[in-house]
Amino acid sequence: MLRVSSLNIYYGAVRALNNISIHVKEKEFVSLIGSNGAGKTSLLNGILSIVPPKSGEIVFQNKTITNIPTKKKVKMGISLVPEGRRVFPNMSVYENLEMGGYQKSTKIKNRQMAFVLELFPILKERNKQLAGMLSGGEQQMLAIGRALMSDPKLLLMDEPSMGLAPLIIKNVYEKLTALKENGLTIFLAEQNASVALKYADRGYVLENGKIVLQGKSNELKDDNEIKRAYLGKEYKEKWER
Amino acid sequence: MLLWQKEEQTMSLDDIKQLQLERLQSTINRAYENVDFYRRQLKSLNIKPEEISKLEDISKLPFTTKQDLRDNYPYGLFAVPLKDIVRIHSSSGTTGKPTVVGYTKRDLETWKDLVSRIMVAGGVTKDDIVHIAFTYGLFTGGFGLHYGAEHIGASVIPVSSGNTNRQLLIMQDYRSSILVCTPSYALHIAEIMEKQGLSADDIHLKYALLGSEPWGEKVRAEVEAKLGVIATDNYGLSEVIGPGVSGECLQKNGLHINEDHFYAEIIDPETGEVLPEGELGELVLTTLTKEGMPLIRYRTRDITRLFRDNCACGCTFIKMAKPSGRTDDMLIVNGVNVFPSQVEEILTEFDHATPHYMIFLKKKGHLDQMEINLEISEHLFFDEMKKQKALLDSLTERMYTVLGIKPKIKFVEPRTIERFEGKASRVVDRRNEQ
Repeated sequence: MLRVSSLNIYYGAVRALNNISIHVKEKEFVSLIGSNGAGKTSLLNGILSIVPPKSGEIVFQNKTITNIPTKKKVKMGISLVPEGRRVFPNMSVYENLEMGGYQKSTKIKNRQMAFVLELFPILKERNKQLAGMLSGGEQQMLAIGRALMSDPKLLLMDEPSMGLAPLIIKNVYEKLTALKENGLTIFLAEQNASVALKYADRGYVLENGKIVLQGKSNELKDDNEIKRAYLGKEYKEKWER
Repeated sequence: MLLWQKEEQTMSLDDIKQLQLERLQSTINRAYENVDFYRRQLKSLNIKPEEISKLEDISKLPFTTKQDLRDNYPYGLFAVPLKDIVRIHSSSGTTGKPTVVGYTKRDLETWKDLVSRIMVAGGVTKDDIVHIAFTYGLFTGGFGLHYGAEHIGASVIPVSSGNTNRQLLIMQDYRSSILVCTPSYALHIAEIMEKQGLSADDIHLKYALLGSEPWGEKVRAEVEAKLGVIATDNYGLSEVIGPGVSGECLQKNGLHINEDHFYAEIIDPETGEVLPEGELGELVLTTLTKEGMPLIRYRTRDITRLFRDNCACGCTFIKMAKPSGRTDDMLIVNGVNVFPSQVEEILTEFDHATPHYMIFLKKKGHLDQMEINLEISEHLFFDEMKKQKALLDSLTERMYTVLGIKPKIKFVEPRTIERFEGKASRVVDRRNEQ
């Protein structure tokens, strides 16, 4: 469904991403893990043209979409849940959701609204409340709900677990798993490797703007190389015990 | 369809290429980061890992050779610390330094699956009784196929090599249904069966998975007829992973390379230039998923060609033809790799031995026999029988220790062996002459 090959992103003269190649198959749940500053957000931003890639190729549903504008990519079915939720605090839950579907017809909007409210009963309950009054977990649900309003085929998500309590994280990931089972394709960036690898099918490990490791989640779960990607080498000599 | 990992083994070419690119890039990133040898090599050529933005860019990278493995003996090419290594294999003892390979836990999981793919493609099911007559130990063949077969769920008998009478007893009584060994050993078993008056009907074999030495259709026909099996070839080398690199399916037309884990190229062995698909040359392999010891552009020295066909088995992976020779002087004697240089080095250890020798390879029945004709010093040749005998014994013993096979050594009179001007050719291979 999504195929990124040798993507490079620069901020001025600084290279943030080095030849990133990843793919996500239809109905797959794939995670991108790595420490803070590894380049995870840059990749999501690059996929959506929020930051234009300098070189490389992005193919979505067999169409090359590397440099087309963000708005058009959203229309094609890619949706992003940004880091830190970014809900509109002074708007109601309902209004926030409406905003997510602004490009869509009333028919699709109504259908997605019903779907979102069924998936997240808490949003139905708090329909008229200001989004700013919601808890962190509820805001995350709202942010996901808002992204779903455009009826995406591919959901991109940045740091879903950030600032949330473990129980809420579990809740969020269970919702994502339900969405995957419902046919949605998910690609998310996550610093919390253990939670991402618990729920996702596969993972890519990003370190200093480069992918150093990849595989099925169960292969990566206990891999010491992941620890090193986060914390650096803990050894000087190979034979050290 | 006889496919162990159907999703992987039936990928479209586009998907394979994407996966190879992703894995190649992270392999190079990791090798550069964690292996001094690769970092030095790339730096000295002024190549950055990020210059590899398409598969073809791999040709910018230098080759890795067996000598590089020796130079970095024992652990220099490992990309993880030893505490993450859970298995170590090594080439059999040589006079020079052996080559050492290490596997992480994840590498072993991968290896099992790759061998399972090849075994399933060769007819093995969970209901089979797999008789492994490969040597266990440092050699990767025994353990590699052992764990692959167990992974499938078959019953594995780790018979190991040698003692053919016992092998036959086990085959009859334990009802082995799959035979795993070298092609020459399969023929040897057939010969002993004939001597004992046994026929294919007296044993229960269905398939034979043969490897670790080159063999042709004539041998296949003979093994199949005499043992009552379908015989397939499989290929691998310990430096890369061991068995599991490639194997024939029951179509018996080329060996499918597990190309989601290994990137294969064919090069001109003289110029190092990459040759187009279909052309004959030296096989070069790059590991795409190995953690413990990634290898970039490893020169296998095996001569073959690569091709794609719409194989009826359903597997979409590229194929290699049965290897047809070597680009170096390595000899394969009963599945054991021997270099003439090893023989030469052993000779220097003995006072009365001269460096004038010839190696003859012959067939003794179906097994290979290595004979060495050696000139010894004049006075030893003419007087001292007892000393001669002692030298013969200790030389034979030393050869066996180092080479892993026992050659038949014959002393000849001084100055009877040809003196070579220029490149010496000290090996006469008569195995294909009947």
